[in-house]
Amino acid sequence: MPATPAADREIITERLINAPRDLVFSAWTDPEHVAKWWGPDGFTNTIHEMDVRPGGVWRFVMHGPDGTDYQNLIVFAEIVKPERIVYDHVSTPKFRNTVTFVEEGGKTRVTMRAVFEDKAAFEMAVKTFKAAEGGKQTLGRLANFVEGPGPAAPSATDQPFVITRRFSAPRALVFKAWSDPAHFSQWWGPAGSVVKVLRMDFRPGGVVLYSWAYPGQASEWARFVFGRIVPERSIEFVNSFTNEAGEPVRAGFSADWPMEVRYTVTFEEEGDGTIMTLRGGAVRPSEAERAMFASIAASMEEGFGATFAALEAHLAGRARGENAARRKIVLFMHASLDGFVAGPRGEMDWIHVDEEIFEYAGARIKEGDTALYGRVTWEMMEAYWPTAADQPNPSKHDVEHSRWYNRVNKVVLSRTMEGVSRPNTRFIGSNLAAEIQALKATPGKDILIFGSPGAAHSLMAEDLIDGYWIFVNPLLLGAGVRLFDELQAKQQLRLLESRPLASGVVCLHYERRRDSSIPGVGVAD
Amino acid sequence: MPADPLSTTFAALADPTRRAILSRLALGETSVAELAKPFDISAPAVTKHLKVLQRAGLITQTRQAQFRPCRINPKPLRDVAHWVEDYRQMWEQRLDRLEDYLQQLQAKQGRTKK
Repeated sequence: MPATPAADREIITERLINAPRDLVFSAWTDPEHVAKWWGPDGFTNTIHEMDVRPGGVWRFVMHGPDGTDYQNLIVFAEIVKPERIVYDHVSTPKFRNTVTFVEEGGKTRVTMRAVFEDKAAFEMAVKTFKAAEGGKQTLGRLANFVEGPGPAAPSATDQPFVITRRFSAPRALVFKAWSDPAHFSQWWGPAGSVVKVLRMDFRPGGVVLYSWAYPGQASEWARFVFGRIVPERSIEFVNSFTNEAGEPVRAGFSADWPMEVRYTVTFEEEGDGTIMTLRGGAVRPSEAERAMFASIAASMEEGFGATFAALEAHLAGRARGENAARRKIVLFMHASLDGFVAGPRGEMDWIHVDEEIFEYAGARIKEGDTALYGRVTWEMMEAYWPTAADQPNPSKHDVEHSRWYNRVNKVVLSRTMEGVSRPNTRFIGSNLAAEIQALKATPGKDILIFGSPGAAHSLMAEDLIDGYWIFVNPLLLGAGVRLFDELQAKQQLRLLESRPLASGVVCLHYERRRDSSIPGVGVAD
Repeated sequence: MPADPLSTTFAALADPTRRAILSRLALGETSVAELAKPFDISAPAVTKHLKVLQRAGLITQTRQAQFRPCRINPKPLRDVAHWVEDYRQMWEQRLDRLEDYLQQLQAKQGRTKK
């Protein structure tokens, strides 16, 4: 076949694959691997023979998603491991394909250049077989195959326990904190205990044996057995409680805690940070063990813990004629002296913030573990805080609040976002009063609302706000979005503190007085 | 039957229909017929689910009234909710430590670079 330039009858397909070159090359040349990814989306393959050496034959059938079979006969012309494969597609349409593998900073650029025998063969490939698109999909499948499981790959049924965290650290470092024993022993283990890593062999099949002891208590032991490891992408391990010798034993706290729990940790880059997702589920579970994990997952997802805790508080409150220690909803809002929180067009450029305000409010904010936002405010927060600590020279407040923001449970009042999934975030679209009542009755710290005037008004209408921190700015706006609105009846407040700050902003701290009636309960629906 | 109460509650809660029944009961007492309404299952099937919930101590069925209304019993739910929260907290705290450690590590690297 001619090797001359043939721009009018060639198809070039290229993809940068996030995997080492040796791995990509071996995925290309091992028939067992090739069968799993070859062809456009939806195709499967039966490989009859694949003899990867010059003159060797590769004979296989591609099964299309519509049931059509495509016979293929290929003869290899040149093999340079791990750089280059050249072969001739002998069956129609005839072409020579040159596949190159180039290292690019730990990744691999795969380029396929298919030069067709003549214009007719080229047109047949393009028009009949949609070869350009097919080639792209093929390399996409190769990438998926070698890059390992993405975040969606572990099954929600097998690993229903999910926890996600964003770290302001590069992926390589987060991965190293897991893979390097010197690092691992520094952070692993239950909080408040002394952890000893007795053995650590970080490779598939390798074992970590560790012990931990709370002050004044006997040591306990557990182990990992590593499964699949894709460097900087994912780690799979099976975790068991063990005796001192490292032999698995039943957990002390429940007969149905599985003997083995398989966890998959995945690492994804996001900006300068890393999102780490951990999923867990029982290995070969009994019915009871499976049920236990399914319940845990359901509890976390549906928040039935929250719903029923709400009920409990409701019942307890009714029984005692009072409401037992419920969480408070506290509104933090900047306002003008004439009671506006934003100008007529939503302007907020007049709001004064400085370190003094951050210091003053910061201590109170740390006492909350849940933040409530309206959708608009949440979107503003979401655009800034998750990565605020990553910017050059972040302020102390940026670092602290960014960390707080990423960790805090976020509740967003939004009809349009309901059903969307974000880390530590729940969207409430309907049934506001009942949902908030449930939230207030869940065990936890206070629930803080920042800004979000629309959401605040809805809560005021239901008399659900228990405290106010109003930062009164020394100016009059004359018009705009009101601080208080939609109130249905008089609400008594108690002034707890007023604090003038150096900037001229005065912080007023009130709580809702509910002396005369049973609060909250009964407003649902 | 699992031996410990926690496992019994978990087993009862693993079924989505039973969770839905409990959600309904969280709004107040109601009759079996009323409970069966939103589900595409027969009254005997609902009764079966109620028995599981009852054995787990999650609900009680009043004997006095003629239609024997069901009532939710919050204690086991609270125990499970706390347990799940503890399990989640264990991981959150572990990740807090990882986060602290990564910050220390990066601070140290920053210093050695200078």
